[in-house]
Amino acid sequence: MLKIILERFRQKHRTSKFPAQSVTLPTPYRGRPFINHDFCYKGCHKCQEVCPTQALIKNEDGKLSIDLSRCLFCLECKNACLKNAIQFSQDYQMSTRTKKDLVLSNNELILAQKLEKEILSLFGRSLKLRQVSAGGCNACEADCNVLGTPAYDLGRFGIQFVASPRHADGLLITGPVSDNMKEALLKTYEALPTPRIVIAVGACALSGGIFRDHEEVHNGVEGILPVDLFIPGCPPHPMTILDGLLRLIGKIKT
Amino acid sequence: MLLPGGVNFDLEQTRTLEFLKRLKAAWKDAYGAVNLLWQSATVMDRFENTGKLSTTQAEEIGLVGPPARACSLKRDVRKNYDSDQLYKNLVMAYGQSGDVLARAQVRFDECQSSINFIEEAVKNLEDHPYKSPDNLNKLASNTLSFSLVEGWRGEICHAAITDEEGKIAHYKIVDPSFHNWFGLALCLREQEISDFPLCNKSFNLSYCGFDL
Repeated sequence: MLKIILERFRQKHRTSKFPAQSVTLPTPYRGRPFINHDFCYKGCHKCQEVCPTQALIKNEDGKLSIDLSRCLFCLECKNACLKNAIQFSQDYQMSTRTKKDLVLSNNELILAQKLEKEILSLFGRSLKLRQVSAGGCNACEADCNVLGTPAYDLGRFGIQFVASPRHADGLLITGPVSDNMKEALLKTYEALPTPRIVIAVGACALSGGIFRDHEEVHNGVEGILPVDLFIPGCPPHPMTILDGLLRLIGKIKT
Repeated sequence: MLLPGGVNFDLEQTRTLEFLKRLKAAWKDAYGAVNLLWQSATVMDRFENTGKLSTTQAEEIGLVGPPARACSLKRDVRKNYDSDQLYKNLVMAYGQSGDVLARAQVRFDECQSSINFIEEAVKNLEDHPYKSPDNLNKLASNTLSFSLVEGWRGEICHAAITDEEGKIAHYKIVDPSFHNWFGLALCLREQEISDFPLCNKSFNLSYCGFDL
């Protein structure tokens, strides 16, 4: 007993002060991208040619935008650009309520708004989630899992991953929704009591990611289930996921 | 981080030093926490003789990774196919009893030897380019190729087939969990239902991967 107390004392309290205190992520982290339109040539398509997921789009006027639902944050576009028109910041806040909001053209991002009043009164202080990996590679799953560790301590916000859809208020889906997992995903959703919410995490769940348009995948959750929160990344940093969840339940307002 | 043909970032000296510092701190915490396990009579009582697999069973079902090594099987891609002598200094961890305790001890011992291996490897890093995606354009056409990697759950098999133009036509990965789920099923026979969570966590298998 004494040894347990001593070891606890030595290891100390590890939970971060987030969201009361802001968090700065280390330099190799690539967060929300920014486009410097003054540097971008209308006729140049170098970034589009190297992007593995066609996340970069140019409209008729040659104006570039980045679709965060597809972006892998792989830096290929940044490295291919001769004019440094694309930069990746340290900003991890990227979750949105609609997929349309994830298309960055004017470097403005409408971050996720809280749930509607009625549903927020039910889930705002206690949100139980069932995680379904619909053909995921375990990267997004690992970054969700880490939210349960003492440093993030998801439980202090009333959010918890549960072992059955019957106990859950919402689904958190990762993976591109492979054909083999589609039925299981739909059955899990049906097993959830109403009202229920759906959260899609990672480029695969948002758009099919690197597996997009493969014959065995359904290009993400949209079109199969109604999605309430989109969390981009490949995989998203745990802070991106936490930020998205807290915005959804109204614990981060700005 | 990873990209075809290399990695996205170099490991410069400042980052190496920070990395080694954090690794040391993480090991100190893990060591302190895990030693509480070994000293706790109630934990040891639950671990010992629970979810036992014999060496013969492990061999017959083709068990891989730490659960195989906990049954004293000398099965590790790093040692079995170490043609470049990369892992000659790596100290392997083996258990005898094949139970939850043996699997826990193998994992703990592997933590220690992995940290030693990483420390040594990082200190002796030679100055090579960290990114060479151009090599990817030189794949042989119409070829089947496979490789084995020792992941943290055990042996991972990668198989790739290229087409006429040397582009990848098909790629399949077999996860170590694919072999080890049957080991979990086998070790639960004749056991109490309350042993399931213990055995489940002691195998720590993947529910996703690309097998579904």
